[in-house]
Amino acid sequence: MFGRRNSDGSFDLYFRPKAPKGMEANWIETVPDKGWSVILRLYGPLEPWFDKTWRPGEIELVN
Amino acid sequence: MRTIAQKLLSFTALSISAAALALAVSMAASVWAAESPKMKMTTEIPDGISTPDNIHTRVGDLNFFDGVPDVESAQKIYNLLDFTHAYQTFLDGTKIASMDAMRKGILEFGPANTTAVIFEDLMDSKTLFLTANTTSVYMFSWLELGDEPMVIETPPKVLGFINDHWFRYVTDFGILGPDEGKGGKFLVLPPGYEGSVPDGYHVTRTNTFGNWVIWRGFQVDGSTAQAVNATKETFRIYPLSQMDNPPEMTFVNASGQSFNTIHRMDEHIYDEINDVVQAEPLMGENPELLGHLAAIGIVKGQPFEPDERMRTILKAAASAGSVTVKTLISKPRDERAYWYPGESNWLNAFPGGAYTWELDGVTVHDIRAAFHFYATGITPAMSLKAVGKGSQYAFTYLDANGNPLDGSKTYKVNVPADVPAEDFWSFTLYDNQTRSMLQTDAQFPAIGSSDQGVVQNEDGSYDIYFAPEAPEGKESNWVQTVPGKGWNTILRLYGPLETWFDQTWRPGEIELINYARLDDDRVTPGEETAKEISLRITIDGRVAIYGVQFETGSTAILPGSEGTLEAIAGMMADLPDLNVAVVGHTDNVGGYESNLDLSKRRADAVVAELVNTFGIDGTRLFAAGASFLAPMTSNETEEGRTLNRRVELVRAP
Repeated sequence: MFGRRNSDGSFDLYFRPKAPKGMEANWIETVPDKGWSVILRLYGPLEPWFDKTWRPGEIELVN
Repeated sequence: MRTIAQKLLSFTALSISAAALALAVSMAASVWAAESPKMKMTTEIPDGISTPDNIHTRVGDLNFFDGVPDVESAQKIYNLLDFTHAYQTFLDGTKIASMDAMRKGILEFGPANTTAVIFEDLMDSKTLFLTANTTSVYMFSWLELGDEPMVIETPPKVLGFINDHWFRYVTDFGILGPDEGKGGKFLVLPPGYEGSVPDGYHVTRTNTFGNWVIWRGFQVDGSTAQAVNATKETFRIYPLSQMDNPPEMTFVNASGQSFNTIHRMDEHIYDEINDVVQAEPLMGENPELLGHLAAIGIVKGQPFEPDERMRTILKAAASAGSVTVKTLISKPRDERAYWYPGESNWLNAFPGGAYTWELDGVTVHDIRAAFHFYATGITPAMSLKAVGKGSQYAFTYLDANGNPLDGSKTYKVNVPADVPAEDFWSFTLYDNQTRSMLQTDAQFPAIGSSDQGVVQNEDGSYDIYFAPEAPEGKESNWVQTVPGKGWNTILRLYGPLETWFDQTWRPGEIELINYARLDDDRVTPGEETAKEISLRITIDGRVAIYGVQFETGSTAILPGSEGTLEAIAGMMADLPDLNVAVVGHTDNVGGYESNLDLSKRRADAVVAELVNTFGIDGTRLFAAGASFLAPMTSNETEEGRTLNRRVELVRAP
């Protein structure tokens, strides 16, 4: 279901109106002139989540 | 990276006014987000789910990006939210501050537990204490528990109870307590106590370490001695472990001493509430209320150090809270607060007899907030319907016309016959600001059936007067008020009887009988009315009349005087018990003897006219002449001489 994994094992995901070229599988479409919010869900969460040694990146504005 | 929270905190305080109570969204001024494109999955969103992005509110213009506020708008909204938490804390938390002020007041006299404050010569207006009465022998102690139970030995024949530091009911003792007025040994268990409990005590548990112990004794034949001695002989507070060798009690006579038990009404009320939160376990207070406190920084175990923005909010919220409780107590909207809704301004502090302020499963927030502003002491006994026992209360801030009671004016209230009070009834006047006894020249700003010399009307009712000065002849039925200050009053019925509860007996309203200070309310010269004359002669004992005119040097009454004579006759009819001396006065032209004769004969003429034309009983009138001996003003000018030529009506025995 997920597309490309980075060489370090992480994923870069993109939220934008149009898919970045070649990253279609790592992209969620958004709607111009509409805001959005997002929930990151972890199913079967593991210890590094609870002890916070693993944490997701912030959502970075790219352009 | 600066988080949103940091950005919000660093934002400088915005102006927060007490008026900023609600977001008033003006849709006309709103701007919706730009239309977004129609996508494959787009459906019609029903009305009322989405909100506009730019709205004008009472807290300013707010800007959102599709539902997310910008930093400035978020701060405005948080200012509003913090204001509502602080406002709610004021309204629901006044009771906590009030109890802490009580603690501080009591501890002025000595340490907790071993000090009993006794009003051996009653409480008077020098003591700042919420709506105390002037007849009971007040006594109180501050009970401070540690980790073991405390014993309280209570005296007989008192009305006593314990309230905890959150101002919640713990127990009654005395006449309405488990000792049934005999006095007894009470064992108070501290919060969380799980140890053993010995037999032989009335056992009660409290949720706070600090507790207010208050009891009222009763005068016997006008003396407090019996109540005071009973307390000194029996009242003790000591730890259970010291029962064989209890520490000595100190009894302090607080009568006539100036001290304070009233909480703050400004932003320092939050400091008082914080003192209790820091001192007590939270288990005894409602988590909903504690949540409002926590939202403004009153958190157990943490210093309460509001920053400049929060201090601005607390100040505004205390100001709004203060005007709110003053409104709620003096002009309630809830008709359950009225003894006779729609017909009377007499108010009931415990509608439905609910000392918990829960009626039909619903909290009566407004009446509760008003009560804690106005009064002190929470016990089911206070609102109990106990015919012939205990006491009942009606209070008001308003006269019969709904105007605030004004200490510069004169009022009368009629207390109808057969007052339903087995023991006695009384009116006590209170200061609207301190809610303590009104400070006047009298030690006790009160009057009642146990006062010597209160005059009863022929029909068995009483007329009581409230005025800065006693109306003539009403001294014994008068309570002094203070010009420039308002007042309110509580009517107390001790040993209330059935006609109070079934409302077949009710007190009169407080009637304004004089519109201002005496010199602001002259009778209109030459156009006197019966009402004006009645008022003046009732209040001043005399009234000058200019509307009766005579031919020069003669006793012949001139045409045009009929209206005033009719007004005098009307006054005589309105006040059927009044006897009147009609006194002629002249200017000083023509010497003493001739003016004396003329003034006497003119007074005779007025009396004759009142008797012959208006049918007034002649035995109620007598005529006298005063020549020029009692001028109103100087006789040096024609204007002055005109003012001095007059007929005066004087109240006669």
